[in-house]
Amino acid sequence: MFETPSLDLAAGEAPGWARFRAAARGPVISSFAIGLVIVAWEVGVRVFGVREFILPAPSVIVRDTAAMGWGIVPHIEATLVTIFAGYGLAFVLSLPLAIALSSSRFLSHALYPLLVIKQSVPVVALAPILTVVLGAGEAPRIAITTLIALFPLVVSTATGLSSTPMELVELSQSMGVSRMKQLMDIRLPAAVPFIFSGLKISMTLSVVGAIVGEFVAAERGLGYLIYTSTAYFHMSIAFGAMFILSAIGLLLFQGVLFIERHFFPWALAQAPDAE
Amino acid sequence: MLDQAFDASGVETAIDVASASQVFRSSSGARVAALHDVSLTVGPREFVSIVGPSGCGKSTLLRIVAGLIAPTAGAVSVLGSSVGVRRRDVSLVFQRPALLPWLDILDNVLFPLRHMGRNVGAAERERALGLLSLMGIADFRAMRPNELSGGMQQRVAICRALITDPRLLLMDEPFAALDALTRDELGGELLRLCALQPKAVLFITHSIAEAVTLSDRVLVMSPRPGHFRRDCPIPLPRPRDLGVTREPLFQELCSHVRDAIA
Repeated sequence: MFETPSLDLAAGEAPGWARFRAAARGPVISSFAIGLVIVAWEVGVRVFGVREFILPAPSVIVRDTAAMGWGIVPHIEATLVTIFAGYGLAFVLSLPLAIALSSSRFLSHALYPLLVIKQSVPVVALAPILTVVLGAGEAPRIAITTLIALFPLVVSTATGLSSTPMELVELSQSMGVSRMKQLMDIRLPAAVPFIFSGLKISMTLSVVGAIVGEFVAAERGLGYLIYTSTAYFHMSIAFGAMFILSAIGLLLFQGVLFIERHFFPWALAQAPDAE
Repeated sequence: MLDQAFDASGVETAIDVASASQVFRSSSGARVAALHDVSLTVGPREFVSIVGPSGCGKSTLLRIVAGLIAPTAGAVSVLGSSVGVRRRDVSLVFQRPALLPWLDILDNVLFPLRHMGRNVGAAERERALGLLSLMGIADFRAMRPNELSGGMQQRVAICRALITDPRLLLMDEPFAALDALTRDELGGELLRLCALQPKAVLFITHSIAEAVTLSDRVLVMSPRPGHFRRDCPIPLPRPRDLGVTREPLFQELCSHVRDAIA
């Protein structure tokens, strides 16, 4: 939003080029660093003759993963479905829970301990239990994803709802407006920056949840692919699936960021972590 | 039009507080008396300021008048009805502008109407624009609050308070967070505004000069528990502008108020 002073210093050049150079500097450095790691990896594996089932070279990972061709698409699709379903469900559940937590002392006392207990149970420990309870279908994987994504969403949304500026609440009260209208007109929109900080954390956690679910019970998905590939020492495929997974996580996180920037640009200036 | 509305309503006082007391219970359970036996009458077009040190109960009194808290004892009536009744012709301005960051300036001004469930059409939009021009910020109507300076934001907050055409304006240290120059400038705007659309104003401030410049009456409040120590009429002629601050009478009135505080 704000131009950096370095742009003014470069004003002697063509402005478009100067702007591009300034904007590209960060990504160029990052790409260079990533490239360096990959090259070091490739060279290291070849020079020291590391066996392929211990650590495959990047070139081998790319070759073997590419050799799967379209065969990898159903795995990506299955994982994405789990991520989106679990994440979406967590978001839908988090709103009423957060509203309940922040609007009544009674509900807050009743619900918070339950949430904290739920959060202190490791999801990895819960996964096999849920698989038995919920059966063999998609349900246990979605449930695991939802459970892991829910807590940060509820906590950040509830925090946002209860940190509405006092003046705005008083303004609404002095006009004699109902609490529901106050929630819709003031408290919920005021909580948007907090909701997004929860959405960002939960997005990455949803990827973790989907993979944990697939480790325990699945017949498709990137987590399933990693699990089965390692069982047969197909390390290059496991690494390939892992990189695709991190790319998905990165893209989804950027997607949430894009939605925030595009539809709620004001929220960035108000972001709870920006202060 | 406005004058007729006043006369037709037959309201003789905007605020009538009769021996109100307020006791809070602190977190340790001790009883803290915030106000003790406070009485206050504000006429329908009177500008009354309350000055006093921090924590003397000024804001508590304002919140009682706004109907945000109920007094522990005493009777409060605002514009002729008891304060439990929600009044839609009373507006609030706070120390912080407290604008809604997701709305542009024009929609921030229109917010009270929408929030109360009224229809907002071309006439209301026109009215909001009129208020923004009156405060000299019509050019910013499409901007977001965070793109404006604190002084500009406070002007928007004043426009937002005026959009409902209130008969009573409650201002809780509205200029306290602004720098001295902006503070003077906004004081001048408020004087001009009150000359154009006379209304009852209850104004809370730390600044003696500000209170004397703006008010018809300055009430000096003392803390623990909050009570009025003196009622100082300000016989400076109206309409006024910031030029009054150069008059000898102004200086005299200021020292009079200062003596009452000390």
